[in-house]
Amino acid sequence: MIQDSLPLNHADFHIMLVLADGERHGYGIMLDVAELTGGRTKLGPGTLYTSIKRLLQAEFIEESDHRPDPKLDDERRRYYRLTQLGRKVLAAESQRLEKLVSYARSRRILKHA
Amino acid sequence: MNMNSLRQKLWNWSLRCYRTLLRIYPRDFRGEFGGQLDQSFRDISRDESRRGFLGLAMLWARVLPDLAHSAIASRQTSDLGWQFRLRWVIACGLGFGLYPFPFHVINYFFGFPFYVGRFRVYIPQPPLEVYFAGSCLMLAFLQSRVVSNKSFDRKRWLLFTLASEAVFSILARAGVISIHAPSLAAILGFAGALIGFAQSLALRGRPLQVGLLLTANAISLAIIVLLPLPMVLGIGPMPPSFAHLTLGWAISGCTLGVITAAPLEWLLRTRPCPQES
Repeated sequence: MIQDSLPLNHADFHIMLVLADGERHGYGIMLDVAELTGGRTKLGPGTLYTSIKRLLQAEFIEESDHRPDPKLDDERRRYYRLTQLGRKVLAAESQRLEKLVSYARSRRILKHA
Repeated sequence: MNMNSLRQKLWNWSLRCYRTLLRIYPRDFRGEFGGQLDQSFRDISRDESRRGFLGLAMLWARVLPDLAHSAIASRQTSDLGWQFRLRWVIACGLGFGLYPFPFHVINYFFGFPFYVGRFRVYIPQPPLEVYFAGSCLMLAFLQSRVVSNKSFDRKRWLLFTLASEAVFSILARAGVISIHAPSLAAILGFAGALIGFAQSLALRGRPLQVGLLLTANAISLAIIVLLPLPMVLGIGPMPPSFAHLTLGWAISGCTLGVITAAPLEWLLRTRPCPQES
C-alpha cells in the first residue's frame, strides 16, 4: 500500500512535509510551503485543495477539529493534520528521495556534506 | 473617484471574478472546497493588496494558471459521477458487442495463403485462446479509455486483464473447469471473478474494493446466461445472425457495465494518485 503510493506528487509531498510539523489550515500550508522552498514553490488555492482532496481520500491527512486559538482564528477555516498512514508514506517518500540524493553524491553530481 | 476607492473597487471586482471562475471546478469539488478556495483567495488578496496594482496583476498571474491546471486535474479525478458510469456502460457494451469481431478477423486470415519467395505458406489456425485474447484485449482497451486518468497505467490494466484470460485458459486446458459443469453461469461467473480480481489489482485497490469488484464482475457475467434473450451467446431455437449476436453481447456488456460501475467508481475515487514517472 505504501510503496504503491510512491512517488508522491510534488505538491502532495510539500503539503505532507509541512503538516508533519503540526496541523495547519489551507493558507497556512501555502505560506509554509513557500517558506520551506525559499519562495520557489507557491501553491495556488486550486492546486492546494486538489491535493488536499486527494490526500484526504487516500487517508494520508485528515481534518482536525482542534483550533489552536478559536478567538483569534476564523471559525470557518478547516485545519488538516497528517495521519499515521500519511506519516509512513511521507517517511517512505523521504527515504526514496534520500536514496536518489545518495546516488547523485556517489556520481559526484553533488558534493558530500 | 479617488485612488483608494478605485483600488477597493478593483479588489472587490477581482474577488467576484474569482468566485465566478470557481464554476469551472466540478460541482462536488466546489461543494466541498468552494468556501476554502474563496477564503484562500481573500487571504492572498489581502497580502498582495499591499503592493497596489502590481499586487493585483501578480495575484492574477499566479491564480489563472493555477485555476486552469487544477480544474483539469480535479475534473480528471472528480469527473466520476453519472457521466463516468454512462461512459463505462457504453464502453462495456461496445467491447462486448464487438466481442465476436476478432474471431471473424482471425478466421478471415486462417487458410489465407501468402508467399515467402517461391513458397506458399498457409497461416495455421491459432488456438482458441488467441481468439479470446483478441476479444479480451479489445474490451480492456475500450474500458481503459474510460478509466484513464493522470495516474492510470493502461499497460498494467491490459496486461492484468490478459493475465486473467490466460489463467482461465490454463484452468480450462487442465480440465479444472469445463464449459458443461457445473453450469455455464458458474463458469462465466468464475471468469468474471478472475477479470474483476485482475482489474482491481491493476488499479491497486484495497482488499475490500478488490472483493467488491470481483463479486460485481462475477455476478454480472453469471447472469448473462439468465438474461431473457435467446440470442445471447447464440442460445436459441434458430442459429443467431451476426447482428443478433452483436446485440446480445452488447446488452450483456451494458449489464456488466451497470453492475460494476459503482464499485469501480468507489475504487477510483479513493485510490492514491502517485506522480507519473
